[in-house]
Amino acid sequence: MSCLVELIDVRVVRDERAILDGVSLRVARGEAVAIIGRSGAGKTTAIKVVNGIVAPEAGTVRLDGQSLAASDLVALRRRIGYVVQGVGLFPHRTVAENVGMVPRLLGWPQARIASAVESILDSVGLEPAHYGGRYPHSLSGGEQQRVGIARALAPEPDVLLCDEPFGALDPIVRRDLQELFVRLRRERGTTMLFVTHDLAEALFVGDRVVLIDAGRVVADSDAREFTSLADPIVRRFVDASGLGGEQ
Amino acid sequence: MNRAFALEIARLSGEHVVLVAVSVALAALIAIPLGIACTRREAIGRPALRIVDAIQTIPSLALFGFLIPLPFVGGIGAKTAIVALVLYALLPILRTTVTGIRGVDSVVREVGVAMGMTPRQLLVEVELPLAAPSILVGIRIATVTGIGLATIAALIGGGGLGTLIFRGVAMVDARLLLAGSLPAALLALIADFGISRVERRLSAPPSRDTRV
Repeated sequence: MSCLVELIDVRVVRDERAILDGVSLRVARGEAVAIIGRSGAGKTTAIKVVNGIVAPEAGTVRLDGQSLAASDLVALRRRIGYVVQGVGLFPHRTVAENVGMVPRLLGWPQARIASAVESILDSVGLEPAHYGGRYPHSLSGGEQQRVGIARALAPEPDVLLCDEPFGALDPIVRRDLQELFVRLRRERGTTMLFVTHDLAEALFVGDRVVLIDAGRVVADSDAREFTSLADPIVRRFVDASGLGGEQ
Repeated sequence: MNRAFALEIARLSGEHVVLVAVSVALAALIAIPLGIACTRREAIGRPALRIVDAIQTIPSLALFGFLIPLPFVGGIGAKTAIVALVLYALLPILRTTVTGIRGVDSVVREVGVAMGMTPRQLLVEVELPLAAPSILVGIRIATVTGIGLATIAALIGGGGLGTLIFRGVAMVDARLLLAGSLPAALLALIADFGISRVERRLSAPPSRDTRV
């Protein structure tokens, strides 16, 4: 499998503190990688260097073999979906306008935008005729994140970056959205980096799990083997999540 | 009240509206781009806000006086009055533009950048529409205070309702004073009400919290 996203010895320093301290990570095309870690471990920063929201002080980030430092960031970002906990829907735009934003920036013809918006809203379980014209403030938290997912997937991105997208939702809505999300991603085969501090969620959405602690990768393993790793930081995560009882 | 006098009040009210409308429009043309620049570069923001703040502390009578001897902008007449009114209208519009843009939810802004908006698209598609209700508050304050301030314009031959007020002061005639100040107060109320309505329309869907 070819490598789509590549971080090589990436270092990010803020206020004289190393947020990322030499992180290397390779993500194959079509692969889903979950990044876990405690608050402040650097996991969010690790995905923000992929779309250039954060510029690293040292190291290389490559997307599809091309270095970000030498890329047109605006064009590159339109190929990358971004889903965050706060959702960040444009409050002055309707659901359909939010979802159709990147296709519009990409200059798709109106008819193609309209059909893409309709089909993706349908896929995330929002009846297009009922939801398309509504404004974000009239939606529930779960509905808003459905729109957030639809917005990220509408332009058929090469890569999907997710930063705790379900962190603020109640457990039932959360489970529904996780299932929907995993199904949609598998169907489309979209490459994904998914940040979460919840190990159960990481194991559910990821083919591979990467643990970042204090700005370094301390574990990187197949999701099925992760809970049996011997690394002490992994053990603490597994024990705290109550997932490793049988080992 | 005779017909000629009523016509004069109407004519002066018209002049008054023109003075304020022209000066607030010019101030908005200066203050909104300046406010955008302030949010982009701190090196512009701090000095610009200081200078505009300082202008506001000059007593209005004195400012009109200072402008008269100046070339190009000065002299006697409506032009000088408009320059002074523009200077006073800058502060509220500049402040609310900066506040409005800075007040845009950082998550919304970040998502805009992350989806590949250019800085210009981010400004036009996201920041300005979301800051619009705040900017309108500045325009409303500038308009309402401008209607009051513009009465002083008569002192330097700028016309407007101040003409009646100054005549009333000189002749100790309460009727003239009221003929100048009541229409001015009425204009201020109408402007306040009208612009508030536009503000409410603009902020109807957006201003409510979009978060969970």
